[in-house]
Amino acid sequence: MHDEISEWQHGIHTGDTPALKKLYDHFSPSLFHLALAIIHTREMAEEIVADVFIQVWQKRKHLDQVQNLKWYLYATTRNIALNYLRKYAPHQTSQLDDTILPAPPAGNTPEDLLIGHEAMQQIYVAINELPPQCRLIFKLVKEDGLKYREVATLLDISVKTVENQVGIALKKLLRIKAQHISNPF
Amino acid sequence: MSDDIIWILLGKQASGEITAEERAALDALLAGHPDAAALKKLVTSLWESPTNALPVDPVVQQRIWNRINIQARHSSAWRIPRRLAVAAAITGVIGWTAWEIMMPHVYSSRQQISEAGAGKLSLTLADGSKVCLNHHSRLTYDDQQFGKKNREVTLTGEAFFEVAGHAAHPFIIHTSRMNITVLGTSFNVKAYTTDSIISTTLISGKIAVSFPHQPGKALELRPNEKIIVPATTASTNIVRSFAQKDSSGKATDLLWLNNKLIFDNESFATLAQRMEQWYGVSIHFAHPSLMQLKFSGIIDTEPIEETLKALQLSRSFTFQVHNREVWIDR
Repeated sequence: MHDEISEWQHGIHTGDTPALKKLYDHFSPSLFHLALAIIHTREMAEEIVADVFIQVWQKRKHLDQVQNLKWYLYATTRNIALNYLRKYAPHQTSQLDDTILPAPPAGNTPEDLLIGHEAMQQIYVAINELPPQCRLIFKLVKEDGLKYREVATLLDISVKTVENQVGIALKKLLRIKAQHISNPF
Repeated sequence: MSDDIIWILLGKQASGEITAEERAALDALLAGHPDAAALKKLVTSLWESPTNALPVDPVVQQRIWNRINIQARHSSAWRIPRRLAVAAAITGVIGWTAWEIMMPHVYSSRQQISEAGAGKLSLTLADGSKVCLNHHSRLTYDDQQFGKKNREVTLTGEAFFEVAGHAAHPFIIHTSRMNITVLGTSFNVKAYTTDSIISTTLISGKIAVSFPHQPGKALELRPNEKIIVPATTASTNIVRSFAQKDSSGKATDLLWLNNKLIFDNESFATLAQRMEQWYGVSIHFAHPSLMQLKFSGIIDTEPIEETLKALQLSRSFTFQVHNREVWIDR
């Protein structure tokens, strides 16, 4: 994965638009949800993500100096989102709770071999029921592979909160599965 | 409580954040439980399974990419000179009736009105900004305030602006349904009033658009983007799209600057509206079916009779022109 990102970084640096598209495809869903968590407006979250990648492209000549492109993308998203928040000071208080999960994959996918298909279905449902902030933190840590410290910085929360939220997510998601194990906790 | 600590430590273990001390603590907490190994395995399994916790609608993802792609292609094809990079163009259309209601013909003594009749009018404002007003367009602003305390103007009709740099005050154009804050220097505003929509098209640079009827909502436009809002207050639907270009790559919203009215497979109904603005006439149809006729072409500086004769070459109809009234019949 890291090699691919370096490859795209180099491609963009040399002016290769398909490389920008690959970087976009890989990171845009995460960045969109990060922006949405800060700004709470879908329209603006879209603009923020567009701004991030436009900025990457405009600064491509200096992109070789970026040490950690992944972190750069998340941090830039956060900064632009905070700028939007300051500029337009939206009064919206909506939470990011309107995300609809796609239907879980059917059939014997590799993940079904790890956790049974039925249990995985239940986990999909349970993920959708996590509180928005908990779901975002879980996603950033588990799916995006960010450090607790990094997630804390992005969302302006303490590392302790990240620890707690990941714990809560695990507990809620696995409670279903763990039910038939004589759970002592 | 110890329950939560176990889950926190399991999370840290799965994510690789766990320290040696914590690992020891976790093992101690789990010691003696028959299902400890199964639980650890379960956490690992979940961690390694794709969960897709927060997906994004592919339509949204494509829409964002389109915006990025336009910018990327734009800036890779050629370097935009700094001067041009802050040039912007805006067009807007508002309903004439609505305008007449909102702006009664009473102006304060300090209100400056510039009005272009059947022709075009070029003027220079106090701050050095240049404005080219199109046919039947009107620009109003406060003579005492403008350039000193603010740079705010109100437009009905269409105009091309070259806004002078001015750090103290942003240049703001008000129309009935859209306020445009100019962050760059040159742009086009169309705010004619017989149409049902107001639209803004940015050619280059950056502008911010806000909506008097939707406080708190604001959008920044990037080059080649267009925003359309209905002129009626009943709807708050805002559509974001891309600027239309002709075969030479020029934005169709700017063609009036060259004194051309361009229409491509347009119905007689909408063409008539544009001709009304263009010529300052009223056009009446004797039969509704005539409004469905489609035309393509370019009107340059011909008088209206010549234009109608040219249109007769492609579709059959008759017309009569009396003063500023035009009658279309079969």
